[in-house]
Amino acid sequence: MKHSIVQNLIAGGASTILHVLLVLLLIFSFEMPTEIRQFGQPEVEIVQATVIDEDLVLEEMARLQEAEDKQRAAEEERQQKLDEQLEKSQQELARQEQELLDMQERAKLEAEKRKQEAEQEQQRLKQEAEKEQQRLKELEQQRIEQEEARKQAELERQKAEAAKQQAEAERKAAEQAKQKAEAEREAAEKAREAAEAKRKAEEEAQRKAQEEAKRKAEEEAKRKAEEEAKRKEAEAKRKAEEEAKRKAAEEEAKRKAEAKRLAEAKARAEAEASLQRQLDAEAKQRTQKRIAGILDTYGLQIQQRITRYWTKPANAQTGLLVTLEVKLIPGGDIRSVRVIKSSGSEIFDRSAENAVYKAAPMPMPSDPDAAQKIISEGIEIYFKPE
Amino acid sequence: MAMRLIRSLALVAVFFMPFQAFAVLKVEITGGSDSALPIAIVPFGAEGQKAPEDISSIIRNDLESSGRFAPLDNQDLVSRPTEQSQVNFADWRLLRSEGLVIGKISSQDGENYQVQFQLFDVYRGQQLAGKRYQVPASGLRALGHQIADVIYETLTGEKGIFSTRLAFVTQITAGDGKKRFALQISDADGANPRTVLQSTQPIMSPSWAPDGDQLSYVSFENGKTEVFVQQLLSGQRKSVASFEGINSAPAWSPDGRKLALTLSRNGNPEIYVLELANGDLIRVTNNAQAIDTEAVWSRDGNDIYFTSDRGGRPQIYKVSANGGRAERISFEGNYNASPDLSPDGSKLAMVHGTNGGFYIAVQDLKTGSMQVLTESGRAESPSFAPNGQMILYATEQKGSGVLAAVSVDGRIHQRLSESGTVVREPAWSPLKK
Amino acid sequence: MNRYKFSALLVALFLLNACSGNATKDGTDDVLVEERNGASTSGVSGDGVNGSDLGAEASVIVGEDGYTGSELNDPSNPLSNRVIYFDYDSASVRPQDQSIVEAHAAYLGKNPNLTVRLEGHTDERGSREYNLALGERRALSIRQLLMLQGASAQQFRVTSFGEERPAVDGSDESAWSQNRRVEIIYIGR
Repeated sequence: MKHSIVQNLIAGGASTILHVLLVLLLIFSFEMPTEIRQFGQPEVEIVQATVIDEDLVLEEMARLQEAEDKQRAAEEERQQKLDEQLEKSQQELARQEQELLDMQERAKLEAEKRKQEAEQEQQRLKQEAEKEQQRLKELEQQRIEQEEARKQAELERQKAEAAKQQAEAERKAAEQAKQKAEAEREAAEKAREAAEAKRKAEEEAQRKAQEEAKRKAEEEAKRKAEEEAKRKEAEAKRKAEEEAKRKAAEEEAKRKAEAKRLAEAKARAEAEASLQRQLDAEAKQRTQKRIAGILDTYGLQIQQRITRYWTKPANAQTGLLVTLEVKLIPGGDIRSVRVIKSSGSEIFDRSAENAVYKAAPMPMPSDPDAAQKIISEGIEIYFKPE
Repeated sequence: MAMRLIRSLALVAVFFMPFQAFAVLKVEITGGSDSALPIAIVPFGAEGQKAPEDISSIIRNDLESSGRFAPLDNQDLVSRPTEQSQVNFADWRLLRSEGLVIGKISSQDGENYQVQFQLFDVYRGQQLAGKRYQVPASGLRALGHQIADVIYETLTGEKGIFSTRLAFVTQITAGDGKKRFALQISDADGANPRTVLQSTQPIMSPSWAPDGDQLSYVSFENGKTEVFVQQLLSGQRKSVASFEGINSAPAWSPDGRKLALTLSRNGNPEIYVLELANGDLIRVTNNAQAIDTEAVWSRDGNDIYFTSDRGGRPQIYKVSANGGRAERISFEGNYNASPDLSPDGSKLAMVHGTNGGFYIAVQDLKTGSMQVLTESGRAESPSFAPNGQMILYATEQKGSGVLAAVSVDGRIHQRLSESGTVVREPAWSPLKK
Repeated sequence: MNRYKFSALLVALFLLNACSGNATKDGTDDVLVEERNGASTSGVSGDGVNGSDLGAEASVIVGEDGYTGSELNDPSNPLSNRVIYFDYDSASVRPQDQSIVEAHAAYLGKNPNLTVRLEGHTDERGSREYNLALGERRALSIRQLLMLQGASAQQFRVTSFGEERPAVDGSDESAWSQNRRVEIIYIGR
């Protein structure tokens, strides 16, 4: 049962919402007739809802009335508040208006003041410019004056310098005289010192001589020792060099022997190759001779055969000559017949070509070299009437 | 250094040697065979009405008769194509035939015939000549000769003479023992003879006018010699020389306006020139002791060759057509007569008598050398073919006169008629214009 | 080498015989010209063949027969011998024939109203035209002899037939010797 209550409650809630929606819908329906179609779909649902909860509607209506009354009271209250607020705003608005008027007045005054100030500023700038002009003039005057003064000072400084140089020259002459006297004094002193030095030098020389003798003896001993060492070293070196030389000589000999051997081998090889070449050449020559011999015979064979098949034009003039190039295929058949040089007579040329064609297949030499040569190089055939 | 040079030279020598030894094989062919050119002439294909003439046979006979062609026997033909698409050249090469002739003949009504032929170069597989004709049945034989001319000219480079005609004299002995004579004309192959004049009296020396439309000849019909000119198509004829004594040996000038004649009207045979238009006569020779006869015009019409025995025996002389001093032309032997000049004017054919025989000989007018062309000793009346390649002449066989021909080089001999009827004095027509 | 059957020729000759029988009469010189219409032939397209190529030449028939004899036909009379023979290529009367010529000369001299035709002939050898002239030369040679021995120039007609009318057919010396001749033919009073 609880469930049904909850269900009723839910249903009632849903129904209320639906009714609110319905009312809103009705309001909107009248106010916005053009938008009916937009709600066409929910309308169907609403009808269904109405069908389901018909009893609840009256109840719901009373409740709605009550809510409505409450709402109206609240509204009246809210309206009153709004009126108060409106009054307040109007007062505020008046105040703001007054303020605006004040501000406008102030702005006017301010503008006037700024104008005066600008005029003053203009005046001030003018004065300043004039002042600057004056100042620049003054500065120029000052600069000219300063230049004059500087030139004057320079002149005076040069004069002072000349006087100073005079004084210096005088000071130097005095100095030179003083130096001369000093030099004489120093010379005397030096003579004395020289004598002293000479004595001391002699003593020193004696001492040094003794020392030298001793040093020399020592040096001699040292030298001798060194020489001995050197000699020994040279000896060792010489020996080493000799050894190296000997070894080099041996190597050279060995190398030479090898080279000789190689040269001999090469010469032998060359000789053999040469012999081979000669043999080859001879063989080739023999082959050529053999082929030439075969070709001579073959040429006669061909000549006889073609002559037999040549139906010479009866009116062929003496002096006609046609040259044909004939290529054969291995069986002796014709690969091609070409007029290399025409006789000038189409009929004579044709008779010659026909003779070759009719003579085919040509005999071929049994020697493969000769046959190969004929196939690769072709045959040149000359036809003459007489 | 020297060694190295020698060595490199040796190397060069070795290097070049092969080229010397390995030159391309060169073969020179001279002479060749004088035999006839092998040619295949396939019987023409026939459609529709049967033709009264076998054109391919006419062509075959013409070419064969020239001695320059050797047509394959029909039974040796590997195939019988009638048009190009049916030709397999390899087959014909096997037969070693250089030329191939095929053709077709067709007729709807048996009156008019369409004929076509093609001549092929067998080894190159190319057409060398081909033509299509439309002829009446009566023109088929002539057309065959015409096609043979085309083939002949294509393959030899010379004019064909198969469409030309021969004139000759025939003689038969009738049942009553009397002789009948006829002047006849035939095709160049001797076939299709037709009589243009018949007589109980001898007829002599037919001579063709250069236009090929007229013949001049000597007729004894009035009991003595008389020279006539006859129009061949109409049969109309006219006696142009009927003087006292001999009227004979007519020869047309190259322009066809004059006739050289032998007349003995003044007691001795002399050469005269007759102006055909007005009958004016000019005497050319004047030698009372000698026979002057058998005039032949030079090609330019300025001179006349003739036979004269003014030297004691007949020889050939030359004299200006206007008369004057004659120049002896032939010198070989003691009998030379019946001159005929080659179409190119370079050779003189004549009857050459020696050792009791008479032979056809030809003399080169430039070199003066003479060549005897025939073997039988009974030859006479030589007449050049219009292409200058053959000389037609009369000879005897089994006691009867026959016609024969020999090529100017003496290599080709042919017989144009069989014995039975006496046939003599042939004259070969000019080429048709 | 190449042999032609002349059957067509024979046919033509056969026709010729048939025609000539009607066309010629003894003693007349009738000439019959037989025309065939050459215009009936038409050409070959392209390369023309004219009428003469088609064998349309017209045929002409002419003829003459011999002559009448004279009363001088007594075989014992030398005048019955009226043929004089010659050597080859010669126009000279042989000695053995001189008496015959003399007899005819005397006869003609006694009968000036008689005329004779002298027909010269040769054998078949050599040029026909030359032989025609040679025949005339022989006839003239006889005429000269006859005139030298009494006859007068007006009594002669001289004709040569050359080799065209041999007395004997044949190609041997026997025939030739009989053909090299001059016939003396008395043609009227």
